[in-house]
Amino acid sequence: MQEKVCLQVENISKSFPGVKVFSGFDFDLREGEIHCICGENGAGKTTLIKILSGAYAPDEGVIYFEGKKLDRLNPHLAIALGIQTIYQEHTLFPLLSVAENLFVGREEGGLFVDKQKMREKAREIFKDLNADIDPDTIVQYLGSGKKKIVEIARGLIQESKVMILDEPTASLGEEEIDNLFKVLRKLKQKGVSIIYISHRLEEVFKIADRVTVIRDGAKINTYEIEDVTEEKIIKDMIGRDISTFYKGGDELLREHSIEEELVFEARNLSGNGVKNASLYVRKGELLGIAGMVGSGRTELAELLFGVKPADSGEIRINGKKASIASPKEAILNGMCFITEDRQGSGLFLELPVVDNLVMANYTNTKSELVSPREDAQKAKEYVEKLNIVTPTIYQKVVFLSGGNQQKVILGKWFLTDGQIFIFDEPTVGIDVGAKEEIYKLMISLLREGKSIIMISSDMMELIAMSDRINVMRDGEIVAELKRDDFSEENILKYSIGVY
Amino acid sequence: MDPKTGKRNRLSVVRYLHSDTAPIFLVFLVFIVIVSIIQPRFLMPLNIRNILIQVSITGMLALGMTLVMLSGGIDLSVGWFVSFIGCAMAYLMVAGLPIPVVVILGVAAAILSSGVMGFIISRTKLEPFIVSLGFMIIYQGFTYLITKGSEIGIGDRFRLLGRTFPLGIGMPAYVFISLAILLSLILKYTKFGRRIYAVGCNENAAYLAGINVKNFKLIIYIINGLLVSIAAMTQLSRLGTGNPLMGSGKEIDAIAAAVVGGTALSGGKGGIWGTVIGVFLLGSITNAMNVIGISPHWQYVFKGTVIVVSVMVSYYSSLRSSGV
Repeated sequence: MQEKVCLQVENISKSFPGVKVFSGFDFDLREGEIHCICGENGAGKTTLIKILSGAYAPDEGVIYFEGKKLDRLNPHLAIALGIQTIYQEHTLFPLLSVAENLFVGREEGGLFVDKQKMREKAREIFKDLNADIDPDTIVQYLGSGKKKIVEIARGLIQESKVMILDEPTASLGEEEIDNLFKVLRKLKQKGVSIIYISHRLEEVFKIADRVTVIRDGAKINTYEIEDVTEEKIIKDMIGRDISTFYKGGDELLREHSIEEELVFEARNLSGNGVKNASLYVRKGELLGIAGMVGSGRTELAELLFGVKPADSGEIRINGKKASIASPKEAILNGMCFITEDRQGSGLFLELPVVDNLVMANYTNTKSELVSPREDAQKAKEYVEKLNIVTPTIYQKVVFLSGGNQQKVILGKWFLTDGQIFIFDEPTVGIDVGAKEEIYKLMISLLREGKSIIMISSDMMELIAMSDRINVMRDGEIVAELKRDDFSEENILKYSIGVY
Repeated sequence: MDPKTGKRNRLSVVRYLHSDTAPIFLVFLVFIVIVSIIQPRFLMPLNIRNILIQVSITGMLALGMTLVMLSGGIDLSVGWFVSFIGCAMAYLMVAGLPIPVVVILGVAAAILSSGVMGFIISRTKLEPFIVSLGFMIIYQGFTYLITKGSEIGIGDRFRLLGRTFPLGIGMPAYVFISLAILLSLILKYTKFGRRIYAVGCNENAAYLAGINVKNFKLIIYIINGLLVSIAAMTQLSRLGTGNPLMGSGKEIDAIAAAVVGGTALSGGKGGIWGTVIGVFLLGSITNAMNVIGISPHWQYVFKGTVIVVSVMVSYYSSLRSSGV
């Protein structure tokens, strides 16, 4: 059977200043097919969506839509052409009814809106999709699954020919997923082409006609689903050369001794989306936490540090039960939390370096009085120690580079003399040179007998730095890997639940 | 910026020129020079004494407002809060209660009311703008309920805070300046003071650095209430009567003074001395109009212009210092 191609991209490239490159990418979408795109965190899935939906303009390359070359593309134009993107987060108006949401911007009727007609049309569409949704329901009362279907229906009303779904099942239960799949198959019959982004391989095999694996911003392979196995896809998703990627992985550089002493232990922690998590760290040990985005890693860290309350379970520090109901108590117990969102929860951007450095340690000091002179001395000491590049300690942090900002955050916690460090994605958005520096600082912490829990999406980083890795999936810790068992394949298998 | 700015061996004048309050201080100096050239009587001791008394009560409110704004909040209720506390105290004095008891009751009522408002603001995500607007109207209502719309004269009672002149300078000025010194020391030399900036700058990061942000905000509003009660007492003492309008509109002057002095509405930026300069600058405009002999109706035009110009000056100077 000769398949008709409706969307084709040729040799697409996109680079961002100093960060990541999406290069030489070819891809085609047939009419009425469901085409899955698989890749690790950071492989370039999001960038691809943004290019196809017109949010990013590619630096090079051509996009053909229904045989015609598109000279330019922007989100407006994409929707007008019939390319509809359904993002992970909902983009509906929560306080409007389903029918009103469907027809936003293209209401029926003349001067006055014909609500009855809109309602009938909406009912027709849902009947057609076999979806049980009342057009009069206010959207905020719908479950996540039905909201997804409303978004798809909106695409149909706009006569979309291509729908791009980004991780549509990320927050759905099993039944909702089944319903969604039914809708997707229906769309396929109607001749709508679907690009389906997911890292859940079992879903891919349920729904896909073809699958494309991308890695490091390049296409690895496109397969007909009958011709491929899970193992093959996983291999394609990884396949990177360890030695060239991370030079600091040298055993000699990371050498440190681990003592038997359990410094930190969490038993059966639940709450905040985490289910029954138990973990421990020894003195001088680095525990890696792996898992896909959304697997509950950050949520776990928030429980450990008292940011969010745990429903049940206990935390033991140095063998004694500790009550950690707030970050304050966590700090008093010698804990430190370097969050992923540097600007959002790590830094006081408008305050000078010195205030940023000493702020967390105020929680430890007894006196209510502070000495600006002593604070300045401490700040200078840590600016020097961590090699923070800043004209003076009175410079506002907002004017420092990403790497130096990260070092200010590290300095803030080093200054508290904490024993247990939780790092959430410590090197995201940091250039290679600064990365190495941060790895070295982490190793020096371990050598001083501190313990580290490191959450990371960067496989190489996890493998190179960790002494042990816990893998999380759907809010649970599903595996513990010893250093001998470290491999991208192993980590990925447990992360996506294929083992 | 000079890489040695942080070193102690720099001339303090030069260092000051790099600080946040420098632009507004220069504006203030220019203003004084121009007015005194036009009319030298502006700088006579008697006139300066007048200015001091005129600005002090607004000044006390501006100090409290500065704390609230630094922590990222705002309080529109302070004007009518002054009227409410002032009139309530006048009522109790006329009813025959001893002065110390009235003072204690007045301060207690202020702390309690601001505590309730602070509790609501700190425990919810409601906008302090709206919540304090509501409280402003509530205080307005209480004020009229107490006074039935007319003044409550207290005669010769309670002169100390407003109608005494040690060394020839009105007592309100002593109260205002002492509070300003006290608060500026607190901001610089206590954990509480340093943390105000942290909370105003980034609440999430402040929480993760071990600050109980909710209680912290509550305390800020309570301190503000305490300052309001001091301002109310001073105003009552100075006027010798509980006038329902004794505080109305002062919240705008207080916010304007803080903003002119470089305190950001978004929080985390500003300080006490900037506000003090702002208070004096805005306060002396009215006085300067009188001294020069321009129609007093022009004062609003000039005040408004000064506010816009001074925020523009600090905006452009912050742009300049960001080009490091």
